[in-house]
Amino acid sequence: MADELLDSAFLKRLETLQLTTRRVFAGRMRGERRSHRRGVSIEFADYRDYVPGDDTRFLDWNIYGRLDRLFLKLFVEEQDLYLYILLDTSKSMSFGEPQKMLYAKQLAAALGYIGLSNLDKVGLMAFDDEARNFMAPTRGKSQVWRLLRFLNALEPDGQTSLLTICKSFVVRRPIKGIVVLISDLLDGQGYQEALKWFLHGNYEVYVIHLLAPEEIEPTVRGHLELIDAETLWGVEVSVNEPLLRIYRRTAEAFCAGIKSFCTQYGMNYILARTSTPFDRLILDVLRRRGLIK
Amino acid sequence: MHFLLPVAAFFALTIPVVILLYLLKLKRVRTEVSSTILWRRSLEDLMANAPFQRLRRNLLLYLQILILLLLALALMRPFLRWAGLAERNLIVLIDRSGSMQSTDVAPSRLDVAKQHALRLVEDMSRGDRMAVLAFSDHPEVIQSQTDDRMALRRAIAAIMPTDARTQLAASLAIARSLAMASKNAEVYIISDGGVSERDLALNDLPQVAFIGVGERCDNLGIIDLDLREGLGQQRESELFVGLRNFGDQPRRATLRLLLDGKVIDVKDINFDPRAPKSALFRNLTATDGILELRLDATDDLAADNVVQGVLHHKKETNVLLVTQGNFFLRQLLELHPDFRVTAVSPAGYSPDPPHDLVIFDDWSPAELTPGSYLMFHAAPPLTGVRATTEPLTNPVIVDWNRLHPLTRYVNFEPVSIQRALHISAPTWSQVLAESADAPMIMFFEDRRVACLTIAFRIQDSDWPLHVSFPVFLSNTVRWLAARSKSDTRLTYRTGETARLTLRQGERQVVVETPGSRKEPLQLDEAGQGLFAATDRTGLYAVRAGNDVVQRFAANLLAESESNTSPTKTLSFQGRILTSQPERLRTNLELWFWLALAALIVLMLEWIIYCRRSSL
Repeated sequence: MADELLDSAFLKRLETLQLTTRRVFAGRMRGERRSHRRGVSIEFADYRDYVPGDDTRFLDWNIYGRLDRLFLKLFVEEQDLYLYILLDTSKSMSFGEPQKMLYAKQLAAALGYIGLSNLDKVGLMAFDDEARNFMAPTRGKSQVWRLLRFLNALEPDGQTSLLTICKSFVVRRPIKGIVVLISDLLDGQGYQEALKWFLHGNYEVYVIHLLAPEEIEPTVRGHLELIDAETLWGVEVSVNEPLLRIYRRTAEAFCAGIKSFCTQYGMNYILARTSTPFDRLILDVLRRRGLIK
Repeated sequence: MHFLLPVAAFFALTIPVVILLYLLKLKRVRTEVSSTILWRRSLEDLMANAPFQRLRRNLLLYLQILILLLLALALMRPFLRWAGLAERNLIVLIDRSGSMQSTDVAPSRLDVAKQHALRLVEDMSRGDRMAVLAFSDHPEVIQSQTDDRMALRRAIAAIMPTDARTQLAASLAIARSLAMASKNAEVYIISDGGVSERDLALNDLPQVAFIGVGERCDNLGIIDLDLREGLGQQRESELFVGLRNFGDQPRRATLRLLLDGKVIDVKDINFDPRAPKSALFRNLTATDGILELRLDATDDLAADNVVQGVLHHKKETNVLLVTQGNFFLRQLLELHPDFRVTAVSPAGYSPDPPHDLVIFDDWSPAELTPGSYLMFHAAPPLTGVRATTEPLTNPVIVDWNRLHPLTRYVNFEPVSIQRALHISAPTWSQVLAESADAPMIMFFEDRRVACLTIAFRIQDSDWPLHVSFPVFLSNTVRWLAARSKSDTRLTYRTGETARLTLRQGERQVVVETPGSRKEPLQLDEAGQGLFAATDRTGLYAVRAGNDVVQRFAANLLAESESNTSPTKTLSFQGRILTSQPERLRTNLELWFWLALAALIVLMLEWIIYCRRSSL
């Protein structure tokens, strides 16, 4: 089953990777994650002034001997990392060559595999205009089959409502972690209000904007009535070179706008064309962006 | 800019039709896409931020509208005033002489001339007026000054050809009077040249243009005809025919002679280029009939290939001699084979029946009835003519009219006259010979009477002993008798006035022309009349009631008209006019350039459409 989305050679390479985060979240269990919280461990982190009541075992007597002042040692504390993958399964994801849905599944499978291989907690939610399928966060490599089975069962359908999903995700108050939104963001209501919901939860958000090449540079020509796959609304166009130039400009502006918005609000934006080889996206792009290492 | 056909602006109504068709829904292909969000934004951007893009989307529509506008403008026939003056008065002289029937230009030179004139009508601007004259041997005002183009077109179209010669002087005189009466006059002479007059003057006609018609000369023509009476007993006649080849190529043709429709002789004629030729038909029997010559040749002018004539067998001249018994005079008259002399005494004189000539010898009646008279030693009872009772003794003829056909070759010097009447000649008479004291030979003529008066008796002079006397008498009898007979000429030339004399009593006759036109003609008391409308070749029939009482013929017989060489110049005193067909274009029409622009825009529109469809 895993071979349907990821081949075994690629899986071997994924096992060498692990998710990274710039933020350190408070988890319920100590996992193999560093935390910025100052806790008990062997790894020295910092000094602070001694105040009455601190544990005197962590006083640095060397500094006292030199400076005749009392300083307390601080150590890094390790904890769990939660990875939430929000996967757009609306009808618009059924387009593209290769199909955006397939590409998104592969991406989710890869990220989920990396997380599960590193004992991170991985949860998935498939959505269109509401949450359709939910896989609760789970840990361990043994859960990979469950992840893949979950992904294989997904079929694109329905309209997109990012606002509904983002809001419903945040209000559940899941444990803080990495949120990876994989979507084409082609929502008639826009993306801004939806993405802003992530700010409430102090998540590390990665927006993987998935588009097919023909959505950036269309190949249609002539006098057409374009039917929206999700809304079934039609728009009459006479596609010619000037209009195509404007479309390309619009698409670029669309992507640039999302990128600017994400940057402004501390989210990570990655534009992924389905024409980009999938392994290159994982091993190169996401690694450079700091999601995995 | 002006428009010759402003009503064509209605063609612009096709523009809304095109717009309507453009607005109708195009057949579009339904295509499913993942999302139309970006497409909608693109269209909004196109509409809101790029007006030029909107314009470019409708570029085909605008080009189509432009094409229709250009075509509508072209149909309206706009023109720019190119030459000429505002509010012109055009005077157009159109030659319709015989040579204008030449077919070297199709359909004929006259038709081409009419087309030129019509073009002048089309080029008229508002305020312009035009008068049209047609001329051959005389001018005719076809249309007086008017700005009514329809009337001008009708008048020009109605101009018919004639077979007459080209005489321009009278037409120029009319044109001059019209030009003097108007401002900005422009005279156009449309002709093939061949003007028979010399030293024509344009005088104070400032704006005269000559527009020549005709391209070549390829014509054989009969240009002369003469019938000579034979001297033999059978009085056979000879017919002399003058022909000419006016073309540059040698030609051969057959000349046929017909009498009353039957061919009586045929001759083959070989013509050298631009050379005359003659033919002589002998032994024509003395008979009345219709003579016809046909030159079988295909050439540019057919009017000079057929000549018709009316043969009149010379009849006897009926002479009534009123004399007391002048045997000598009677003998002289009876010697003449054509004279049938009847002698009566003055008491037995009666004006009826009428004679061709009445000779009064030493006697004058109280009244002269219409006719021709010769008087010896008597004063005719005419107004102002009186004879004194005192005779002249031994008058000597000291002077005589050396130009008059009767006295031209008579020498009166050796003539002695013993006695003569002293006749006072009124001023309206013509003195043919005179003595120192009084006229000796006088000619009186009015509408009714032609009378030659000799103031002396022949027996009172030795004139009979001179050879001139019998010749004078013979000529005088014939000459006077001819005045009371119908003209016996074989043919007239077109444009000549035919002199008709019919039996007395006929006052109203109808002359039927070769074109089946019926012209009424009023005759005088003497039964004479003049018919001037001989502008077509062929036979003319004079009808009194239902009967044809006389026939006569008119033919071209004009070398100047048969010579159809077109001329590019007209010579006048001090001026030479060169043919200027470009003067016809007083207006620069723009329709051609507009139509060309429409075609170019159409091609551009097609190119753009093809490029868009292939995207």
